[in-house]
Amino acid sequence: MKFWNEILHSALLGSDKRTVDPATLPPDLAPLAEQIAAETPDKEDRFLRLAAITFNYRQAGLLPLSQEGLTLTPAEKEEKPYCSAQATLVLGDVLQENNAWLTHAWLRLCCKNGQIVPPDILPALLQAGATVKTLRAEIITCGGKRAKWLGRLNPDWAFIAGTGETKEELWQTGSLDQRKTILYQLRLEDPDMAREWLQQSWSTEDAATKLELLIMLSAGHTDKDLPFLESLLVDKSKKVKEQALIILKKMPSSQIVALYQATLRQSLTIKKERALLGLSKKKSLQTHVPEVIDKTVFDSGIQQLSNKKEFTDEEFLLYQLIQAVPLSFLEKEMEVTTEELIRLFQDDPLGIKLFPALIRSVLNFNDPVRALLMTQHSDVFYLDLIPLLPPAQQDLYSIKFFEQEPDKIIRYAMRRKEEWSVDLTRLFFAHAEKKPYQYTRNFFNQMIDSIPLASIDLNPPEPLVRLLQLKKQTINAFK
Amino acid sequence: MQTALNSGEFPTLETNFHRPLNLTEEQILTLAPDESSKKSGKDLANAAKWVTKALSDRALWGECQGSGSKPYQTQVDLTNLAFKCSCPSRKFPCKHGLGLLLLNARQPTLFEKGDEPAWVTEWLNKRVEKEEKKKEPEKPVDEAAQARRQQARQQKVEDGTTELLLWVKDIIRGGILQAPDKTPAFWENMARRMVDAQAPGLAGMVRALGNTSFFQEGWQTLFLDQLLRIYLILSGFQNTDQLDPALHDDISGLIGFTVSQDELKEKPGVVDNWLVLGKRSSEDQGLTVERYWLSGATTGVSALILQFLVRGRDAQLALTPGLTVKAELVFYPSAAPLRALIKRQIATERSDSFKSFGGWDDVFASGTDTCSALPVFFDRPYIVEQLLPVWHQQQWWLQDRQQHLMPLKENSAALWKILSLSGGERLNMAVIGKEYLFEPIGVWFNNEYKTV
Repeated sequence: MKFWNEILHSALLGSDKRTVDPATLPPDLAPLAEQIAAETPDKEDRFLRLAAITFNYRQAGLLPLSQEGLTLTPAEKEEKPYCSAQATLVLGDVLQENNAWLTHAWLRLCCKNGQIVPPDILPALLQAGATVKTLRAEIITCGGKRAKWLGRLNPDWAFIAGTGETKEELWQTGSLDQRKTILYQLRLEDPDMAREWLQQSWSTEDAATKLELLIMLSAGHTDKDLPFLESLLVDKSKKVKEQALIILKKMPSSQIVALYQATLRQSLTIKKERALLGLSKKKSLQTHVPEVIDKTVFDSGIQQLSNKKEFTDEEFLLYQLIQAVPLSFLEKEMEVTTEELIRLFQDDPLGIKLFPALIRSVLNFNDPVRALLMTQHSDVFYLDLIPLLPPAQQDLYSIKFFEQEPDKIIRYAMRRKEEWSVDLTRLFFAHAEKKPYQYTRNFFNQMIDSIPLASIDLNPPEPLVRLLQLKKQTINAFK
Repeated sequence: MQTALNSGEFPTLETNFHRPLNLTEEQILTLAPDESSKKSGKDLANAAKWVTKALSDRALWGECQGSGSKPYQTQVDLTNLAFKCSCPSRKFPCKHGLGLLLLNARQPTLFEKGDEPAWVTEWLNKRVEKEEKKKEPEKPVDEAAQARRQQARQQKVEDGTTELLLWVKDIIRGGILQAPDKTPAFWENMARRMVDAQAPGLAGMVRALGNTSFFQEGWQTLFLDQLLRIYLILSGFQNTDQLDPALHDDISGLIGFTVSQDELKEKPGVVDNWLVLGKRSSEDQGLTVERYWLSGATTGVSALILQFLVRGRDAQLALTPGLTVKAELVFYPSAAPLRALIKRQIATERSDSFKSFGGWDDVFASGTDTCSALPVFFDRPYIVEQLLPVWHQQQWWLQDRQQHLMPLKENSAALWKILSLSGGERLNMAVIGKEYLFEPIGVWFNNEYKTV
């Protein structure tokens, strides 16, 4: 619009500096421009009258832009049914609540029912997926073809359209984060394949990448990893060596654990004495640490000198060695059952001191069977054992010792995938009520997955009421 | 409860039970005065919170156990959607009213049909009486005093407009290039002068001029357009005796002269089924202005209903986007009428019919008609048939069947919802705007109007 630009140009500079050139105006306006010029001596008035007429001429004569051939490829037809209108409304509420845990719960049920999200709420869901990466896998399943179509149009939602690359292609060409994710997932699904992929690319990786990828291999190790991991003990990178050793120390069949076992075998034995006039045998722990110990033991991180005043150097060495070997080794060497081993350590003055090392061994070698026995045969509360117990036992153990360490127990309980028991939830509600500044809305947002619906009648803290209602509505919407 | 679904079929709720107005949850929530009311309303949509709940043909009521000993009595007029509650909240509707409607939408079977209790009948009868009373003549006014007041105000406004015209000329003399460098006081002082001159409409336009986004590309045109609008109003006021009476009313209204709503209601209105296309709220210094955009299903006439709320209170209207209100609307006198008020609300219902424009050509033709009658006009609603969002020259456009394009407002929040609902298919769409700036407010999807 040349004529409007002329008006604008004059307006920008001001009537003192510039006047409108009538020749640039459309012919329709020429007679009016002449009339205005003749009638209006004041130059500001003249400009304003002319500009006002041109303004109206402009807005009265608009034409839309015409462009042939533009189109938008339609989305493919959906194959799965949409979820119900009620479920859609609940999803709207859940997304508004900005609660990733509830969104997960909703999406899980939608996926399980083989349904997809209707188009009117898809943008909000995809936006949530753009922010919370953990929602993406479920959104890909529940978003249907419309979500993939939208993902191709909006770069923020590209995650849903996918790159079209296979896992293996992504492993070979993806970013470090993508490769780590793929390796971790593969390690859980097929540990050997994950190791083989890493071995194949190992020589081409730099030290920092090697370390990052090796950390991913910590999950789900098997004996087949041993040759590869032990070969890394001579790697050029110190950090890679250390990480390999960390993993090997958790593997009962590794050479380093075998070395610890050999050292411990020499250092700690059982002495059997007759007691009660020979009617029973009393067992006690005997220490005889050899004067010369393989240097590799100390090089691997075992401390020679005690850093705890209640432990002698010899006791401290034993403490470290016990926690570095599986309890099955001790049981075999001492020809005792787990229960007998626990009792032996509990009844022996030295054993009592070394007892926490038994717990650490259970944790180190991820031994749920012995973890349970430890909790059943000891009156001492070992918080770290909780995650190793079966869900029902976790609840019982947590309830039993709740008063001792309520905050730490709650933190551990939050890591569980299963819902808490009503009894544990009741204890938590009572505790949370006493500490309203610690247990805030933000905290409850993260734990709604753990809280059972039945607890809605237990007078839950106020912020939880709404979340529990949404959880209930989510479950009901898919019934 | 839901009907069986075929592949890709959009779900609908079963409607074999009585549901007042068939309001969806989404529609009910648009009635909420603020976000916290929405949240609280949802919390109260819980059967356990209600001691009693029932409905009749014309009302829905319930007693909600609050913090006091006596439950709050909540009632909803279903004929002409209205709320009343005995709770102390001054929000309208209150959380109890919303909760009751939401509960009814979610679990209609919980509400048994019954006889209205006395407190419901009393309220409904009072509403009818009030309507009747409105028709009775008011007490006589002192016409001489009124004329004196009007004359005094006219003089003040004349003085104010003279001052404002000089100010506008000063800006033009120096050039609008200097406008971004002006201090906020430059604009605010003149706006206050206009308030003193009893020309609040002009005060608002001066403030809007100062609020031009000078960092935005093309601010020059936006600024000059607004300045020329002010100039046109001033010129119109100075030449009022030469104007068409309808245009004269527009100029008066734009300056800030009010029209008596009672007098307006005396005039004959337009009876139609008015589809509520959308609602936009804006807030400034505690005053909320709600704009309801309506479209007559039979007449095709557009209407804008304004509601003013002070600190979120004192609302009288409860119009729900997507619903059709059968009502008589009286338009404010204008050369191109748009603003209206509801003279008589007959019923609220769902309706699928609407009148639409075939494409952008028709919208522009309508715009030309409007500006030939009224050069100073603002955003208007239009229903345009079969629009398709398309990507062209690094931006989204709305393409009609004739391949004509209209740029979609940049960063429009509605874009992705429209795209998602469209899936690449054309949609009938309601838009508001003027010239080359339109924003979608709703679309028809599976024969249902959805706000976006």
